[in-house]
Amino acid sequence: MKWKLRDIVLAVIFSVACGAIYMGWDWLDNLVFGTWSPALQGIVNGMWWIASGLVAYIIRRPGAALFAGVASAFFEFAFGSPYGAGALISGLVQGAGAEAGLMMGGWRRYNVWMMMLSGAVGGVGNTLQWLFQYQGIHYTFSTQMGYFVLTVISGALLAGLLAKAVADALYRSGTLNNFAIAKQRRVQGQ
Amino acid sequence: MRTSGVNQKGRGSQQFSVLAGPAAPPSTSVAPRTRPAAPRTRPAASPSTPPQSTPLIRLEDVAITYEGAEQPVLSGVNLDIFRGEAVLFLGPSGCGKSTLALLCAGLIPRAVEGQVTGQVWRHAELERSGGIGYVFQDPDTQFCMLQVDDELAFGLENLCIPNPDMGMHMDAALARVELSSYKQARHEHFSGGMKQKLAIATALAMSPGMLVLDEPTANLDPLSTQQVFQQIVRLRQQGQTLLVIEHKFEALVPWMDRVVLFNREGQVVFSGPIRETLAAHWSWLVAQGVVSPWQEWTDVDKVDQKTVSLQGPSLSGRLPEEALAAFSLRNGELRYGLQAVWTGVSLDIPKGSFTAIVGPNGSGKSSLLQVLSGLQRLTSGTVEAYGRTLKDWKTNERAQLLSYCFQNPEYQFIYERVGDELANRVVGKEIPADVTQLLIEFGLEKLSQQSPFSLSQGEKRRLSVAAMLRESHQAYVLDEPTFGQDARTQQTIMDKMKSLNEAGSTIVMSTHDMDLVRQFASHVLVLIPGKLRFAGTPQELFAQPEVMREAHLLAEKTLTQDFEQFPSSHGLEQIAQQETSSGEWGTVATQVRRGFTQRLNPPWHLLFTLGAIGVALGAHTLPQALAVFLLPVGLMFTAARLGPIQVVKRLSPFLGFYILYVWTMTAYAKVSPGTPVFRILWMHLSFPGLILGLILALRMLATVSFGLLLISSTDITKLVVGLSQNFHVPPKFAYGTLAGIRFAPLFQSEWGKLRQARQLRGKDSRWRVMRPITYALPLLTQAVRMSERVACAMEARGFFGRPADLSQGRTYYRIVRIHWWDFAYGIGLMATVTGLLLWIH
Repeated sequence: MKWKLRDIVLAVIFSVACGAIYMGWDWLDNLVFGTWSPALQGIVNGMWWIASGLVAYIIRRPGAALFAGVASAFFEFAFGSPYGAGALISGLVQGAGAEAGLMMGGWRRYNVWMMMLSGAVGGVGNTLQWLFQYQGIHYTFSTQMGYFVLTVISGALLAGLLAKAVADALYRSGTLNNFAIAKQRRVQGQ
Repeated sequence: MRTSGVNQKGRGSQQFSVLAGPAAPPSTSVAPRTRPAAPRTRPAASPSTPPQSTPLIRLEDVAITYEGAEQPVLSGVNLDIFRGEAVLFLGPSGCGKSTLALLCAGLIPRAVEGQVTGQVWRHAELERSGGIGYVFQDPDTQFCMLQVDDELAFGLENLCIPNPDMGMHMDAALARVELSSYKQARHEHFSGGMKQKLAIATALAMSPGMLVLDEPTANLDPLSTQQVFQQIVRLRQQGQTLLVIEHKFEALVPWMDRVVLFNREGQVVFSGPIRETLAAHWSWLVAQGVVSPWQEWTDVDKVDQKTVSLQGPSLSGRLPEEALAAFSLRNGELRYGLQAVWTGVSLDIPKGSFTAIVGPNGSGKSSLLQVLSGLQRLTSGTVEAYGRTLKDWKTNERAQLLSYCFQNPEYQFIYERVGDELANRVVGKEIPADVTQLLIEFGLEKLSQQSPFSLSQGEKRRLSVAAMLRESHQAYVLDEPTFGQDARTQQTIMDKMKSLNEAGSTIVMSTHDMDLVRQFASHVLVLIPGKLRFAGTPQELFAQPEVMREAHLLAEKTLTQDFEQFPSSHGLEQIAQQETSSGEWGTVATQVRRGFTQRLNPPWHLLFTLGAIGVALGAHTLPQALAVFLLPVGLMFTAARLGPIQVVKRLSPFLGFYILYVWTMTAYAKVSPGTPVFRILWMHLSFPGLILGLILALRMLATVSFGLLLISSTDITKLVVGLSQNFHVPPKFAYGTLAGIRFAPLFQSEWGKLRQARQLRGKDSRWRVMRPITYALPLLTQAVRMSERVACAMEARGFFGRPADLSQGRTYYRIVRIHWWDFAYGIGLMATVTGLLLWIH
């Protein structure tokens, strides 16, 4: 389960791409949803830790979700996110959450349910940061619950399911033959 | 010229004497010409004391199968490579030449996975780290640092060369490739030729026993190609053992000892002294599609005539009689930011012409094609297509009028199956007849159910051209359609375009291949950096060698040893200045300003910044929040020496964002009973909420300012290298991250090209926000390929094992020190924030 150099470089380059997506998402999230209800904002949150799901699902190494979470947040920060260095903290807590989800499967199982679980636990990390850094504690309890539930669902869907779908499409294109995702399938296929 | 003089002299001629002729060092001039009757014992048993005739590399019955593939790419390969020898690998694309080179270099199976069977034996001197240098085809994916000196040092660090000795090795390597004056430069601004020379230098710095050059000139213009070839000649003269893979091999023939010929099935068919072997098997090479049918084997002695015959017959009498222009450009000027690509360009491309656009790398050929197709707007000037200003053409009208073929075929792929791609809609297994016809014509019929991304480079190119030709258009614009293709693919593509042209369509293409210009073009435009240098017929161009030279089009077929007369670094500097990347993302953490914070240890600075942000979260009142915001702003002025305008400029884009946050708090904050609120819809606006919102906004501004302070005073290389040195992060992670960061600006340009490609096919998502989803696949495919290449290139420079795994397993070129003031500053910063919070309570 040792990381290969190409696993690392892939994780970083994917994180660069995701960091750029996050930048756009920062605006979308607040403009389209936050204005109408802080709770509703939760439903799109999952995109912010899609790098964790995507990279971990492809390279399948312990720590991959955390690494990608932090790296993508770092690039988001470097590209000039309005969250500034706060993005780094997001990357840390969301990545740690996604990692914890995968740890529950012993970093061996990468099926739909594990991916959704990982995405969902990433949402726990996000909610914690929201409560303490972004004034979440000053909302009503129902708003907080709404935010939490929607964020967890969003994590499962966007950071779990969507990440898996993208990686699977990539796998079908035959470009991932040198990565753990393809190797595990070859083993299972035999 | 290639049609001149059918010369089969080489065939049946006697053994040539040492081909290296001029100045091969005596010690190495005894390169064996044929495979010696080598001892049949397994050499692997005793590699210790090599006798004179022991090869550096010996392969016996080797086969290689890639992961996930059913068939081996290569099989039954027997090969010896001897010290001081220069070996050329030749074969059709996809035949496994590179695979074999990767195996020789030990990169398969270490860096690239593959099943290897048979015997592979390498001399001990090659087995050490950096023992085999490798120069890859793509200049952009073989570097992992940002600056020339760091790049060279990377290999030296892997070898654990002590820091004080590094400079000497670096200077020597740079001198060997004539790049000495660029030691401190950032290589992203280099031209393709300079990048390849730098790649050679990075390998040479490690004193390799053997150097592999894997199609080093595939991406280069004729002049840069010649520079690289000259470099190869020089290395040959210095006695360097060379393994070269090169499609444009003709000029290299006199400098190579031996050629190894591969067939399409991945077998080594012939191997022997280069001239005799080429002469004897020339017709076989034509049949395999390695060389074009119009190319004839000419022995090197005839080379002078070749050069002279540059003005030879070309297609004439095919000039269109219609004087009307398909495209015309008036006073065109194009700028990216402040950088002018070209100015004052006025030209007409006649209807029905076959126009070639040529010029050095970075002269704006692609940009010109994009301007003509309406993909890129002129900064000033007008462009007309078929008598109408291009702006007046609607997007779908334009898509019917002309079709555009990108340099990278993948940009155009939208579907998951080749059949769908060609039909431009999902057809599954029921492929329409006309599509089937095209599939057969382009040799893709067996692949119709595969993913376009999984095809070989040649197949991808054929598919993209086929897709572009599917519907009839009045004009076809192609950006280097034959780039990186073997002769057979090139032939298919050019024949198709020729027939379209004969049927009346206008063809405009950019190319580096002057043979194609001679063969096919009726008109030619020459761009040099900054302007249009020439417009006319190919004959007129070939009659003006001074224009050819200026535009880097003259690549003499003879390589000289006389390096003096060779255009030197002056021209290169110009190119380097021209080729600046336009990406704004390129500025990621690189603008370092003078100031105290610049001298901080970057990793510690990062940690203390995060710490300060953490403490600042304790700001619960408006004055507190204001104070923790003003602190980093003050530091930006004083410690980082940023100007007020810079600070405002960097902070202002986010203002709207924070206003949103204030609004959300105001409208939804929990309020204690009895507080007056203003109800509208489901919201309840309150004053306490507004205050909470302002506190939050100020806290976020503080976070951004702390971040800005960090970014504007941190050198990214130092930060990442420091993580390894100071915090013992495994170098694999640190340097791997740095390698990935290089791709940030690249992504931006890829994104732009993708968008253009989609628009042309009428398939761009109407919703901007949907683009990340529809672009994901091509973009990520590209990302995967880049990561594999970069990782492979890094491992080729000795980045594996101890130097990659352990921070103590390597030496360091940049010493990132920790001083007392790092802690003084960091703790002081956190204490100040705490103090402010307590004081303003």
